[in-house]
Amino acid sequence: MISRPSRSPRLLPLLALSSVCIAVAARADTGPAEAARETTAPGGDQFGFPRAIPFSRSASRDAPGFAVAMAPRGVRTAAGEIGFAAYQGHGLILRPGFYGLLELEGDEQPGFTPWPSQQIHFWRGSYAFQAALAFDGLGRRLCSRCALEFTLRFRHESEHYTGANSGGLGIDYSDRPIFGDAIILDVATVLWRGNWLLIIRALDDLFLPDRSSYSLGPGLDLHLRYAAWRRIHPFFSGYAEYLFGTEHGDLSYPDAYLVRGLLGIAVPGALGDLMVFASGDVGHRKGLAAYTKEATLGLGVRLAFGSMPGM
Amino acid sequence: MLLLCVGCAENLGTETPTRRSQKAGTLLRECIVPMPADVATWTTPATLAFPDGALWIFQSATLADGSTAPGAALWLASADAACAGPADLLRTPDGNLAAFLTLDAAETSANATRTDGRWLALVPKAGFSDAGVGHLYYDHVLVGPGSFDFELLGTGVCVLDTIAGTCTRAVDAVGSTVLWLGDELPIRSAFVDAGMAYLLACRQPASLMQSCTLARVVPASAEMTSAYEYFDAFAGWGASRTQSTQVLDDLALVSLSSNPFHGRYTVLLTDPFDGKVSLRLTPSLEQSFGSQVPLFTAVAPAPDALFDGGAEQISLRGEGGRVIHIAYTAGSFATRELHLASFRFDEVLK
Repeated sequence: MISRPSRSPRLLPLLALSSVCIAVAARADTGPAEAARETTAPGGDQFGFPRAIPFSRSASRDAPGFAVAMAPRGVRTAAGEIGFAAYQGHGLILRPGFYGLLELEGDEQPGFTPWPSQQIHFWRGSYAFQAALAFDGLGRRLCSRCALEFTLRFRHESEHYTGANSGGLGIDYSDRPIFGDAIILDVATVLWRGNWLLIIRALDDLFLPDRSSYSLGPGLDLHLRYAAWRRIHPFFSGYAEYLFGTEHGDLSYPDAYLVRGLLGIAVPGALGDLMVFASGDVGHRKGLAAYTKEATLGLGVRLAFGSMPGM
Repeated sequence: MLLLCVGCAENLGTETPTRRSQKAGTLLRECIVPMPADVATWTTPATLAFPDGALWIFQSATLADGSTAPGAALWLASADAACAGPADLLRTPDGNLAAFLTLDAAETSANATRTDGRWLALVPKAGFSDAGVGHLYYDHVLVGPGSFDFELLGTGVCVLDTIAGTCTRAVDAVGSTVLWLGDELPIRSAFVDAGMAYLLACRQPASLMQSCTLARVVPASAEMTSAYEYFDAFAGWGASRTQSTQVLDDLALVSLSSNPFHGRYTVLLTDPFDGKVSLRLTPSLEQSFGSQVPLFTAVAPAPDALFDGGAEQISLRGEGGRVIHIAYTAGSFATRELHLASFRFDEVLK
């Protein structure tokens, strides 16, 4: 049996409070120039973008995108989200969708590798079924280019590592935390001020009992970009998460946290952005390396799909 | 500046999960056994369990006057007494310090004439008592020339006379006190159960590896190598030592016994590097030991030193085996301290 953690973060009130704050902040953008720029729901009705407010620009390691980190270690990510359909009515758009992630990470000494094709040691795999509900009517009442969206996901993640093809002894990772299954709630909004775009997202992982080494995982995600120019958008993405460890089997798992920031430029296109960035983070590594805590500076490139509201 | 640091990673530490089963009981006390006033240092003792107390036999004790007392011994009537204050080393009826395990005259003379910087030493390891008679197993070790150089020549056994303060070393048919050559049978733990003495012999086939096998003998025949039987998982107990089966491979100091509180056989494992003490149980010595149950972590030794000993004091148990006591040494050669840890189980282990 998994017992409840001794610390009980009041996540639902926090989510509610963050929603109110976000909405109040969004009200500030009511300028006539912005009001003239009418937006439409992004993506098509079938097999389109899965969200009104994309998660792919996030500094989270789980952000859906195709990415390569060249420092401090080689990390290759192939992740994406797709919306199965878009059901519109009464100022709402519902997008059921699917998310998948495969991430390969090296365990080499930190450094810079221009093309990290070797040294794959840690693997993370994840998939999720999700439903995003965009409050388009409510968003436009807040400001002309605003958007507000709730997303509910059922997500599974498992951790693995590369063994030797020639056999030999394996590495005992049996005491490493299991990310497992979680229901994830997130609420996101977009705020425009002139040419500045700000995405704010509050989210929480509600891990299923006996299905994970964690109990709760609140997080906060920000994406700020300057969108004055057509071809280049400087941006900053910040992400913070805290995973509350719990008991699973015979083990009592420690908490884990990660604070991560990306600073770079985005090259916008019809399908999304090409992002080139420097990264910095403090906290626990991911996957089977989750017990190691470190502070790093790195470099990466990401292809992030999904159009931005109001652009 | 940022570009210069790209690729940098600063390790902020590593965490580990804790095992819920670590709370198998409570560490009641961990004391440093006070040395007698006339003792400056002592070695790791071997323990012999007698019905009314434990006998610790040291390889040697260095006395305050700088002299060495080989085979010195200490009697412990209880764990409380051991922790309370210094007890005196055992003495013979004529008042001299008892010397249970000593080199004979020929060995002493050979040591004196060696020119290679090495010398023969007898190191007590484990023993048992039955019907008032104690048997002590010891290693013949060639020590030197460096501080950490030693060569295991073999194993011997001696029979105690606790009144006279001597231990008569058994000899084989050709007159050698080395009854088992090299690492044929390095006894590390012994106890008596149902009229048989059971012995755990542990070899180090390679660095950081240990392989333990079981032997048994009728206590009165412990001086006869032909009387020993060895456990073979396929054929049971038999006379072939080389057919004996590995029963433990933990890299740890081992102490085997039967514990009435748990109603099973137990082997206490003390990690020589980090001092973690754990337990493995088996309903029968002919069956496999269960998984490790962590008990407690012993007091950490100096950074350059290891734990040694790790013997459960069977005769000092309390509450029918619910309270156990483990003796170990920690520290460098010069500052070795003898600890006695007392642990009480919360309940019978599953």
